[in-house]
Amino acid sequence: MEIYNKVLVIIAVILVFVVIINVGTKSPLTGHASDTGKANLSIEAAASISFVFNTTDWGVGYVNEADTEAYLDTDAGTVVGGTWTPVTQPLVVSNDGNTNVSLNFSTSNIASAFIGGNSPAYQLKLENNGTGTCDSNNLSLSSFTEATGATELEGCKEMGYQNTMDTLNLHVNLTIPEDATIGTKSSIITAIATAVSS
Amino acid sequence: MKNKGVVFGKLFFLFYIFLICFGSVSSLSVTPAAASFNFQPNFEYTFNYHVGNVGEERVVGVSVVGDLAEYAELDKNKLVGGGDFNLHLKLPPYIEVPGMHRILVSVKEIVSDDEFVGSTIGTSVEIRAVVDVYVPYPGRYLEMELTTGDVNFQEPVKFEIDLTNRGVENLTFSPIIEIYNNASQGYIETLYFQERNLSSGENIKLQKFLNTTDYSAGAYNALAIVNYGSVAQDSVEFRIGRLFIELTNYTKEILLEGLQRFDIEVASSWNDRIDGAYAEVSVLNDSEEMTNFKTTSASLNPWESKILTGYFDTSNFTEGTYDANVTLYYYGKTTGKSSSEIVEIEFVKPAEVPYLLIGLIVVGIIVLIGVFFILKKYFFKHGKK
Repeated sequence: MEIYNKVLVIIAVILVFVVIINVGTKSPLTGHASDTGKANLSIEAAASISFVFNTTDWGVGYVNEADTEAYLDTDAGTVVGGTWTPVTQPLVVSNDGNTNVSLNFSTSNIASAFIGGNSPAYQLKLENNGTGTCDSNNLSLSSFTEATGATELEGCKEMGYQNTMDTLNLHVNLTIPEDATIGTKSSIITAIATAVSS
Repeated sequence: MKNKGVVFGKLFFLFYIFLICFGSVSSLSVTPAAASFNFQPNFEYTFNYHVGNVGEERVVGVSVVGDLAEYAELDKNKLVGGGDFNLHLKLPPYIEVPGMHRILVSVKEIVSDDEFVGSTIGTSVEIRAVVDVYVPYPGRYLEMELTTGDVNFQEPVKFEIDLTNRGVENLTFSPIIEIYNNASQGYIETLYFQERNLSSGENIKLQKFLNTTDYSAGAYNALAIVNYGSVAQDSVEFRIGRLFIELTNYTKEILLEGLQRFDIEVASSWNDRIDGAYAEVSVLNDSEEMTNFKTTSASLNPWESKILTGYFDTSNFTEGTYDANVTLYYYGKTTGKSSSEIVEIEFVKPAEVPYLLIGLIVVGIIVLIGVFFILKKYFFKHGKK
């Protein structure tokens, strides 16, 4: 009988410990969730973007005497109608994270403020660096499009992140009229990446 | 001299634009990139974010926008050199509009123009992490997405259906996938899934394989249908490839002027890589071979188009239309194949410069200038008198 009681006590103690452990286990959520249902919170990965190549240097130049405007194009790698040094290397944007992102672009100004003169142009174009980063159905900025300042230009609806399929070339095409205002100007191109949630 | 100087100055008034462009190092990372959950009344949660890949001195701005931004509060609006910040979300007891509501947490490099001395184009990066809140629809509502991929001849096709119950009611349904021939729109067969139950807010992913043993190469369409009281549908195209390269375009006109370039555009119908694709071109005059040359070789990724280029001497040709036998050679895995096609090429003489006409025009201008000066001198003399 005594042994029987001791066994019962031992079992009871074990059960108490089991209850304590279960009650003491905390939910990973720091907030309060309603008792009527589940929030099913899902949190994903990291978004990381960088301009791998962020230099476009045409140097110093001017519109030729015989021409009314000059065209500077990193895609064609040419300068027509001006004396600037041709540039073939575009800006390069890389998705360094582990999630797909949508990629848009904005600029701090537009052609009239950036270059000035009669009918200037400040255009952007996006293309795959390699294959597969942005599917053709998702690539919106596939031809040169006028920069629209703070209004975002849609670049790629879904940019991949896997190695060898995670970089895009951003080409710049400028039209500089002969009456463009002289002096140094500045413009900032911002790449805006938004995580594409699965 | 003075008049000449003024004219000279106008002609040579050049516009100097300094276009020295360089950007600061622009990179940014934000973790976590995305969060999503089903709406619960008065739900409260603090999201912890980490910003990295930022230069030590870099200033990064943090803000929150979106249709539920009023219920979100940040503990910082600026970071220097990266770091951590928190977003505290406290939802209301009720949100009237059902569906997805997105909150965007914006992390943006702050770049000031005075950083760029003598430069014009700088770069910066902004990352928007998302917080998606799904407010259930009244009654029944099912979201569905069908995905698949291309395959090669006789390989099985894998379909995946992603199903989420976005309504307040629990659902019971049996999905099906109907297969159609893309070209003829003809129905082929149906794949059937087991009956499933899905609670409010729950998500499941189902898969099914299609046996394509009796299918020929080509394009097809799959239509997923789920009847849960209402009907949810989604469709997707898929292709069954074959080891074949199609000649889609070529140089149709050749100038009769020495060595000329000949381009051939080819498109792969294979769902794997093709190596060593090149063309051998034989240009014929009736049945006699005038010349024979090979193009460069290239590799083609699945379904890719490329241009193969060759060169040949046109000195033995005269004006007219010739046939050319284009034979394409290519390799897929261990199989080598070839295909031939007869095309027409037109040989034309280059446009001649009209030297006689140009000469006559030049002489005419000189005569006119001479007459002008003679008349001017004559009227000047008579004017003085």
